[in-house]
Amino acid sequence: MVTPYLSVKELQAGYGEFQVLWGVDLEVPIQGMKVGVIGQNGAGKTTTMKCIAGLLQPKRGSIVFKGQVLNGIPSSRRVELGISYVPAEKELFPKMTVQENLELGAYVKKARQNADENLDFVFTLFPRLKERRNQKAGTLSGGEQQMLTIGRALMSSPELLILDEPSTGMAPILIEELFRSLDELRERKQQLTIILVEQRVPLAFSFCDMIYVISEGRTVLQGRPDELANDVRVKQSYLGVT
Amino acid sequence: MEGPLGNLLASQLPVIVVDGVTLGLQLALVAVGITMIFGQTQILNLSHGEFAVIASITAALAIPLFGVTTAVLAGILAATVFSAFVYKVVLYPAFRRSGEQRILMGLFITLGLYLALHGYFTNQFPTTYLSIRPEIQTVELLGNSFRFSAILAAAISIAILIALEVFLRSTMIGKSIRAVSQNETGAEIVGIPIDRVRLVTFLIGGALSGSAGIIRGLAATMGPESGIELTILALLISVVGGIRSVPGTVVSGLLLGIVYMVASFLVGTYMSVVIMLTAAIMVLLFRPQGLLGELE
Repeated sequence: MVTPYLSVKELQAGYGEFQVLWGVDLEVPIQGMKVGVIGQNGAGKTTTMKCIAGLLQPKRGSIVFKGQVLNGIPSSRRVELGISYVPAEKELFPKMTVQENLELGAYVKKARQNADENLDFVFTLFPRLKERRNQKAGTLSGGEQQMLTIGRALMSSPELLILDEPSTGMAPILIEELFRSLDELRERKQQLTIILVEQRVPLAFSFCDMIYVISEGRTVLQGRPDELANDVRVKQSYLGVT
Repeated sequence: MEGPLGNLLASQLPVIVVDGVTLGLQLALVAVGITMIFGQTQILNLSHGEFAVIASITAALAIPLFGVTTAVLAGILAATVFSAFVYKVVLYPAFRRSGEQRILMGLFITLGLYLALHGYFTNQFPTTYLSIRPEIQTVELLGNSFRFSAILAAAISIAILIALEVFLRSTMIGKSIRAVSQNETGAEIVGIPIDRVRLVTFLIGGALSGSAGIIRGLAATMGPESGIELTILALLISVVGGIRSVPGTVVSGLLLGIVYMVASFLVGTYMSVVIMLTAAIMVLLFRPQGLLGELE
């Protein structure tokens, strides 16, 4: 049997006494896939991603990346392994310039030698960041901050990019622009694996090769977008079709 | 100001201002460490001035044996190593908690550490004062005669503070220190090892406070009981400067140092503390975020 690229099994996690995840299963079979994770607010999507990125230690269950068990490995090591997280809350360094934020994205050793190349790549992907490179991150608009967060993650030469609701709080026109950039990213880096957490289900369906549906801390459905699009439950709950 | 006091002030002003600058910069060295450590760890180190005493006592004991240069470096090294020990061992219980609990725990532990160190130093080394006197005693500048040791102390302090700022702005480890104090989660996401960065911050804080102890021994006299005064004044300066802002801390140190020295020349030491506190309160009334601090 071939080991899957990433496999999350029976994941249970939470914050202190408050348990959020009760058994999430998620698998990315091969490198280069785009996997979408959808589900309602509070279903546990972000909590799952935090566990994969190493910001939260799971109570039970396992996370295996390229055959290596990630449980207990600190986030700094995981970035080194190629996992890069783009949080919904952005988590930028507000009093540093755009350029400094990007430089810090290349903090880990393996990324430093590619820093110049990656910086050029980020600036081609998001020309607006180049214009504002000397501006403080805290003074950027919401959409620009989102670009910067993605750019910062790309600076670490990731293999697996986790995008946690990148369209949150953005105007529709900016979302279009953002997804155009993401499509371009997908074109240019075919080997880059992407997990996309997205509230806007149609966007996720058109972007991804495979979809997981999480509800109340458990994986309830999985499949190809075209399969799921015909599923009654998905239609009712997420696509607004009755 | 009219009359004899006014004339005396006018003639002495440059000398007094230089003394104020010297004092302000020493305090800034301590305050910057307090500010950096607080920014990284949410721990307000009430024993920070004692690190300066560790340096001054070590240096004072070592001078007769090894000469000034080695002794001074040994003093700063002792403060640096002790600071790392405080981070790794003494504060360990505080780092097992987060949020408000850590802040409180940090206050209790460092207050206890201050009491223990202060008691130990004043009992075991009651007469170990550090007083370094260069051979040159005065320098003439623009018709005024300045104490050479005060000028030297100010120059060394400025050099250290500039070096620190350059380090924080331009090196990767400096940037990662700023990153952790601006956004810990963000720092974790890009792969910065938070624990190591905090250790470096404590090492720097210890070295700065140790340097301040030595520099005070150069500009004046540093005694075993002087730690708490440094801590209190430095706390005041870091709040007035805008906590987490290094340049703000330096500006605020200069301001309060000069106010203190001019006031003590005019009305004496006791009232000058009151005047300095009033100046601090005035700043905070008009700029609650501190001189160069930014509102959250």
